[in-house]
Amino acid sequence: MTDRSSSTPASATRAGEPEIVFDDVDKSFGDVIALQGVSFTAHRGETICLLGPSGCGKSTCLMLAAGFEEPSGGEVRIGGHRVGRPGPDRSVVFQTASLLPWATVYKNITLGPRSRHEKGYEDRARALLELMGLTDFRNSYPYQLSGGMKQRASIARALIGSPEALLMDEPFGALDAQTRLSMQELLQSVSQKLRPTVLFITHDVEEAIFLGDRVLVMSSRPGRVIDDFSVGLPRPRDYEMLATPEFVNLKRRALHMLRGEPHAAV
Amino acid sequence: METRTVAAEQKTTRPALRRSRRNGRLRRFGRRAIGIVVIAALWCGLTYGGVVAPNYLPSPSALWSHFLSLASNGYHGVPLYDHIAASLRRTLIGYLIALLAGVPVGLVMGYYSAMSDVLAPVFSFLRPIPPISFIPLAVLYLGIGETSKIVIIFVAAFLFVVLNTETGVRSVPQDLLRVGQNLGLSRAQLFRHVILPGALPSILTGARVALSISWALVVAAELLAAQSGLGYMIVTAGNFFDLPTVYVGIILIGILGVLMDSVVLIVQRRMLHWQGK
Repeated sequence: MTDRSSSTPASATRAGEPEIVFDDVDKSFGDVIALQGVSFTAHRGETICLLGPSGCGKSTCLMLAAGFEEPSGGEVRIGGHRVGRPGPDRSVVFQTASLLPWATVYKNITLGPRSRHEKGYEDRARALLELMGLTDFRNSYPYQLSGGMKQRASIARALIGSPEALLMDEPFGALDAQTRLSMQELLQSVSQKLRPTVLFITHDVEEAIFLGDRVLVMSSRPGRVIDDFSVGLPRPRDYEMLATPEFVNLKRRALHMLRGEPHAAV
Repeated sequence: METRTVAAEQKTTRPALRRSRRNGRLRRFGRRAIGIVVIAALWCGLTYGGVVAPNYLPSPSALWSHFLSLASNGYHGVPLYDHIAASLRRTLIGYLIALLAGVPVGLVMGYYSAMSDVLAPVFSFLRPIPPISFIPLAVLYLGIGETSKIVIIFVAAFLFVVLNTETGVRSVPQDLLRVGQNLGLSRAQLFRHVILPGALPSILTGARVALSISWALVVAAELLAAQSGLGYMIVTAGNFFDLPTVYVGIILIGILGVLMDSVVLIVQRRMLHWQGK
């Protein structure tokens, strides 16, 4: 199941290949065991939602994938390479938009390519601004934007480097309910268009099922993957689907797992 | 339909809004004038009312004419603007050297905690010592020339610039640093694009405090050992019981202090338009 041949870097970028691989990953901070034996594989172009209660270590998974933390045991591979230092091939979208408050939207979005002295990023920046509905705000400062717009800008910033993996740490958790819904729809259409591999962290069951191709449910202390199911719902998904029996069954399954009860097989 | 009504509403309220904003600004200006007006009124009452003898406290008009005569005749053979220039020169030289040296040292201390471990105890020890108490040493080691005064101002300003710069670097949010690393910024780029602008609010606060301290200190230094400067003028005039000159000196020091502070304040507002929003 898990890809142990880490010596196939070039071929790993093709669709359907394993992209993000967690191989028996442990992580502890001092005496606290945050993650224990976490294994899963996200394939190229797939959206995986890590669902779990606060403090279950799901954000730790993301920090490991990003390279901000190192695993205490096991290995995290992205695109066939063992994860090293943080880099633009694995873009993180944080819970708060974390835009540089002294830079305009455009400067924020293009900081990565500018710092690498890339050429021709302007077209990509323009396209992303368009996609995120920020064209009219390219010269605005973050303090002039709403919460949703800020987060759209930070997603554009994460996408401009065409990363192999998009790592999202509860990116919509701080937004109001209305904005969150439209952001979820936006993310769905963006990932259908650009097909990044997405690791999406959330504690919101409906969000996980709505966005995910697969949902991994995590338990807390120590964080372990206790369920892993595919969401078979067709795309594009809309909010009518929240009431369908398929959706409700998946939701019930996830909630049962989160409560620590064995779920009734459907 | 809905948007149209909202727009119409905005149009009708806009003049009213503008009016109330103008009123607000006026009211604020009024409040800010109260203190000055009260003091001026007291001053006028005491002097023109004959409560205090003119040679103890000159009246505003007497002070003004004294100022004019000082400005045209100078004090003790030295033109008034030379006294002012002497004080300003000492302050600004010491202060600017302190900025140029203190900001880099503070940045290094904020970024490399090992450097902070080495230097912070020394600076923490020096900071609470009133800089005036270094004056005898400075005079002994460096003489009563310009150097001793500039060095004292430098030391005092430097300590505050370093402290605030270091604090500023430490206060850059971890998320922003992580964003920078995640985007693949080199160490130098991280410094240039994230750490330096992130520390800027604190650096400028330090610069503002340090300027006030420098200005207060130059006068103190000139009180003790100088042949020119506003501090020298005040202490010499005081010795001759020439109170109008003392008052002119004090008011000039105050006005110049406010002016220099507002320069830093304007720089601060320009560079930090994004702050606190």
